[in-house]
Amino acid sequence: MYELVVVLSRKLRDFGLKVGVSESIDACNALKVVDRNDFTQFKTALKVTMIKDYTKYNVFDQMLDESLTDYVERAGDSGGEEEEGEDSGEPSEMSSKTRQDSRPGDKDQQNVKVVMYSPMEVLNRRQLKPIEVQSLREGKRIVKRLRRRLALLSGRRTRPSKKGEVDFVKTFRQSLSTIGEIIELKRFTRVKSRARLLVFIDISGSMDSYTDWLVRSMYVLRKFASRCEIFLFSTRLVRVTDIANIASPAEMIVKLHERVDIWGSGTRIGHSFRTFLEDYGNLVDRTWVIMVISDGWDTGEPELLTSSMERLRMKVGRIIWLNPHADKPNFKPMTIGMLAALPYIDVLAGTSALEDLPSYIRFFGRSIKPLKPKWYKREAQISRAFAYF
Amino acid sequence: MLGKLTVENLVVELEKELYVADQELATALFLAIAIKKPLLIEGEPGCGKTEIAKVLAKILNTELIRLQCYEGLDASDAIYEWNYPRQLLYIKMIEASKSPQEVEEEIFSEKYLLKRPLLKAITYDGPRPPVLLIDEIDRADEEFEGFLLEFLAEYQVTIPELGTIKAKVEPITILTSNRTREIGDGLKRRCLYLYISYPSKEKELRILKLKVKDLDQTVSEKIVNFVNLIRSRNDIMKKPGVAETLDWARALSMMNVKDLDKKVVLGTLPCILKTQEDLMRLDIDIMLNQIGVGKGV
Repeated sequence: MYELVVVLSRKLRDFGLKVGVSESIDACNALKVVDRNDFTQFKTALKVTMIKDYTKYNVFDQMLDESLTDYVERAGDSGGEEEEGEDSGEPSEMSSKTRQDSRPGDKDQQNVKVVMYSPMEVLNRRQLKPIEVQSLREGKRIVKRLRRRLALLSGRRTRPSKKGEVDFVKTFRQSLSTIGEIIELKRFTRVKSRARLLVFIDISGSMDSYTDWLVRSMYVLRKFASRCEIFLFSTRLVRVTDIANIASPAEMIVKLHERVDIWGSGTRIGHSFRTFLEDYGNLVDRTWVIMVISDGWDTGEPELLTSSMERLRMKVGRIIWLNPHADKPNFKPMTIGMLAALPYIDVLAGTSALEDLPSYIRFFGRSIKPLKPKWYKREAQISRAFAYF
Repeated sequence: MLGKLTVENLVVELEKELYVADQELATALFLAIAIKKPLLIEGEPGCGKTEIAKVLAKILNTELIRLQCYEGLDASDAIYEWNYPRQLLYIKMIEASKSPQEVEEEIFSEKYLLKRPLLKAITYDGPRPPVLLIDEIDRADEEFEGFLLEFLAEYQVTIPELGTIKAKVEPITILTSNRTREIGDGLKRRCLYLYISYPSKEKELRILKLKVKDLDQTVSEKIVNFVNLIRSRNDIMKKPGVAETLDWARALSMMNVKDLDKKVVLGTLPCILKTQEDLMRLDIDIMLNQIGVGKGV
């Protein structure tokens, strides 16, 4: 029985899930107390202890099925060797039931996969160049500026502070502990909410020549924005926030190489955004700013992109689109993806905005004001976006 | 109850308290009790995450201690605070009669401690462990989450003036989250994890039957079909949860509705859809046709 847990956790780990030793121990403890002849109980016991993210539930189903098959085969091969007592009898009996049970589920998963599969997808891993930390100085400064620019207006929430307005309630409450004598004035300042940043980076074929720059800006954005989620997309969407969190750039590159296998595939922007809305939709709210780094070449359906953009627009505070071609003097956003997304974009800038200060000022200098805690007027956005024509 | 607890038992007991749970949820709860680990439940709003803790407390015949999380929640709201006014009164009363040391010992005793939920949970003095519900943990700051790590691992709290207080009976802890923010890996690792999504049609029908008793069977079927139709649409921002379905069913039952028609639906739709955009977006005629209502109208 424990062997099965070990096999399963190794398989899950290979798939990139975080299943540590403590999870395996919990799983074994859980299996001890549930009724192992009941497949639902058996499976749930493994699931609640080992999987801590519901988007990985289908991976778990698949891996469990594989491990059970392995386990039964191995038990069959070794014949009577494993029959030590009650433990080895139960699982094989149960797992034959399991295999029947899980077939239909298996088919479902294949269906899901068919949806995700596209003829344009080329499984492709990239050997990435190491990041030179010295070259990031300018980028760091720009992201810091951007962070200030994107900050929200101070709200009603307060935070204790040395300077600022006098907090009478706290002062009097404190004075009670010194018999009503006010010894120091408690003060507070209003909390200035920092915008959170959600970055979508296009790593499809058309963005191929920018790969190193993309990886570098991913590193810079993650390290110097206060809270930041990073997704890569081409034909699929891959979340890499945890990888970008790794302190050492060298290790980050290695992990990125292991995880991401969609470099240089086709682009399905709308589909990727839809996946985001379905799986991580609750993650964002009005305090978030979306930054899309893409050239807008889209092989998917533009309608899907429009509808996804509309939904994103309603959810988040601002959408910024960085297009590598927007640096060119006579740039006009004419690609299908750009045209579909344009009405929902607040700022369309060139990628150089993240690289050198003059360019940053050109694109972000006056166009962004602190976000007011109420809805933007749609008309204003549209007219601003169309000012590029 | 705790001694002879099994998963099947739990399902039956939950249903007695009008909570329809599937095997999966019951197993997760059972494990939380049996291997004494906190259970983190994530899921769509209105799927009965909070309710499960309340019902569990009822079944186990013990107290429910609830900590509602919000942004800016800090230790003095979650663990303890000294009752300054009371200390002050005491000092005024006995001012001259006792030595300062005696006074100090007296006023920093448990008598003058305001227990907030977490401290209350570990000092709970009952025969059975209490159920501690930490609700909407995703709303609290990450710092608070970090603090919880220690609390959930050791079930102990240190008060400088009093020393360390360790739990007499470890509470059964249930955390809920709406996924407005990703919960940190550390906290997740210390918990069992379960995701609850919207129930199947059959399950939702059973819930309606249990909770809204005097509702017509055909009406409740139509309600469930209609709500499921809304949930299947991608352009609805706030999808109705089970709580909304129940509200709607209760409203219809209060109005003594025998059959759904357009007028009734239009009048009561705000029970399930809570934003103006969503209300505008629905094409009611088509949807009613799809569930087989309003053909004759």
